[in-house]
Amino acid sequence: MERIWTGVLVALVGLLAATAALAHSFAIVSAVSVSGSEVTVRVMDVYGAAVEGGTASLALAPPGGKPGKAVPLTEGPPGTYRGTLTGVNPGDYDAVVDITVLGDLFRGRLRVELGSSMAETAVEMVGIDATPHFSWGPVLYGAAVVLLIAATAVAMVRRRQAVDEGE
Amino acid sequence: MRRSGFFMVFVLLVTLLAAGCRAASKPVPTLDFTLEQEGEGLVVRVQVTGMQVPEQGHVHVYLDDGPEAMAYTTTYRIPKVAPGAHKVRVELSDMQHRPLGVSLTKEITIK
Repeated sequence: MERIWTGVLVALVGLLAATAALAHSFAIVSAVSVSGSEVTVRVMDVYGAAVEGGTASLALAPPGGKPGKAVPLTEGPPGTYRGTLTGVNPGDYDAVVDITVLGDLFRGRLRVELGSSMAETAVEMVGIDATPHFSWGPVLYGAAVVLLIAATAVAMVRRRQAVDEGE
Repeated sequence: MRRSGFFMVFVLLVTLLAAGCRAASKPVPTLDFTLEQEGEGLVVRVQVTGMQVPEQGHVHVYLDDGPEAMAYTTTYRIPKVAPGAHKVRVELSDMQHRPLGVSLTKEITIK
């Protein structure tokens, strides 16, 4: 009987946590173009709608290396963010594009060639959970784990007592 | 043995009850929207009462049961939509993108 209750409890906790985890799953893409030292980033969602009102920045990194200081990009037309990279030698770089919209941070990385023109190149923006949101999922998981450990310990002690009494 | 099983169920019920009371204490927002063809595209204009958008929550948009998109304002523009009949579902969610259980579906024919 206890096993059934424990199974029901664990299943419910797992269901609640999975529901919370699966609730948020939208994707955005960026189209990055370069003209000399000017960078333009168009950000859009899965239906091509402009992702407007965000805070965007771009940081350059040596190919495969760590990005340097981020340059803020200014939104012009809705969903289009522009910036100028000054004091940077022409050549190949990895551009790390960050955009934060209503607390959600998205990041994309692509190879760019500064000093020349680069046609619009699409890059998938990966969602990064920058703002820690409180969720009942981990709390319920933790409670279930503690409960299971405690119940197992109690059961083992009682079983041993029962065996000792039997002897 | 049976007692500890009942205890676990009791803890679960209390947790669910607490979560339910927390949800019930908030007013339920309402939602309406209009669909309008704009050139080759589609404009969704959303009206929400009982919740400030985007300060207190978001609007999620689904075109033809497709993937989830987020409207960052109450006006959402899809620049290009294929001609024909389309279904648009708009859903309210909280700041953590959890659906609030308020959604509405409308249809439009793009010429």
